[in-house]
Amino acid sequence: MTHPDLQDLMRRASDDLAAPETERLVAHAVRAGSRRRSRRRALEVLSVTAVVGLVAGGALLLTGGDNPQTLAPTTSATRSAATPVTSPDPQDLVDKALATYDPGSATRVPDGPSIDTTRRLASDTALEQTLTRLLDGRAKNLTLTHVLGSGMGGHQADTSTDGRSLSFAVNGAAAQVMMGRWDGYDAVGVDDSGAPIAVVEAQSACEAPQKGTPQECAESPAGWYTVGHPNAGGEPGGQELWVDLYTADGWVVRVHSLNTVGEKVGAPVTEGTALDEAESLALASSPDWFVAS
Amino acid sequence: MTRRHQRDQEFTAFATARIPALTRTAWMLTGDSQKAEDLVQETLIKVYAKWGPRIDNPAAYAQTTLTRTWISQLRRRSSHETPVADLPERTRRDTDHSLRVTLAAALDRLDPLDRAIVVLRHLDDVSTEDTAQQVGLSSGAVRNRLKRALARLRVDLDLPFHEMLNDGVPS
Repeated sequence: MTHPDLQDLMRRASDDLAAPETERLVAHAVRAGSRRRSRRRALEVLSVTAVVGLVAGGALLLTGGDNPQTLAPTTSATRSAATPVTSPDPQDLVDKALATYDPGSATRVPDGPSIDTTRRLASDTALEQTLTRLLDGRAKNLTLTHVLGSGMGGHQADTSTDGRSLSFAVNGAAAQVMMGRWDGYDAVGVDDSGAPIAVVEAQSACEAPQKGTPQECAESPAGWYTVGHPNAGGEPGGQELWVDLYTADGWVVRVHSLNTVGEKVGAPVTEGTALDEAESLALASSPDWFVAS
Repeated sequence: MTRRHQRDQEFTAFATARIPALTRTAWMLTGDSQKAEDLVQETLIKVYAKWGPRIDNPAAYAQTTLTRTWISQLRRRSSHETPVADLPERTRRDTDHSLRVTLAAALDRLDPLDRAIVVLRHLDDVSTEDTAQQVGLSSGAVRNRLKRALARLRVDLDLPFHEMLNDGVPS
């Protein structure tokens, strides 16, 4: 291979790529895109009493009516006054307030909204006891580890260990419950135009528009949740299930199940995943993972 | 003709024309034909959701959307997923098949952001400033990353790349 032109090289390499089914792609884009347009318009209508402002330095001030909930600012903060508004789209307010998207650095975690909560995770012992009780003693080989505080995300500079992960087996098949926060830097990203976007509600956090791949979510009494059946890979018959629940006060609980002893490890040991969808949602929804702050 | 019908017609015409270029870029970024198609699909959904007179340059908007979507998807990729350079099912020439595999493997060894920068700068001919805006870095960072990526590709692909090393990259 001697051709020196990288551009030509790349174009030659991709010249006869298998063409996708254009009609199908376009038709689906119109259908799914229409749903998003409708959802955005619905948000604008429903949110006329919600007010969002941004305190310099990254804290988010969230108010509703006459009950402001002031959140702790980061350093070098100057507080902006929250004024009830009746017409602006609150998402527009968030976007405007986020002047530029901040990716942070190798040593600095970027800022993000802080969602108020009156709960914290229970002690390690209490979490283990809760799992054992909720699964009627079926959970074996239980191991608890401290993991990233950001429940679903991760940043190169994030060294927090405020999250919890309980790994166990049910009838030999592996499962895991992870708990963390969905607010902070993980709630910030960019939308499809490249403009900064922040999510401040459980539904939006679940759908995660700031992460580029929207999720289909459903509402439950405990919050908004999404269900996934990723390709488990490994040997034939491998199954994988995850249920992620996002609460209004900023917590995310993921229940992850396999039908093998480990991820892509060996043949299936159970017919279905260690926990089914209903069990997983019930586990994720339990208030017993938390205690009052 | 209703406004909706007109919008759909305009979008369909645009998307049909742009899909080949988007697919090419998506494949270069993902190294996998199925993932590339998924990425193009998601991009088109987002473009349609915002389709309207506010989009001055739909082609540039779609390209930015594709890049941003891919970068965002990287954050959600679980730790056990490993990108694999998938081989397209239909190839006509053995020479270009080998070329594609080699190039895909070389790109896959780059840091994902570096890969995006190389693809934008050298496949899509995007300026350094526009590339910086798309990937969320400064122009200086883009230049440094490009220089590093080209040095890596130079070794992996056994190519001189003299002109690329000097192309907009401070020595």
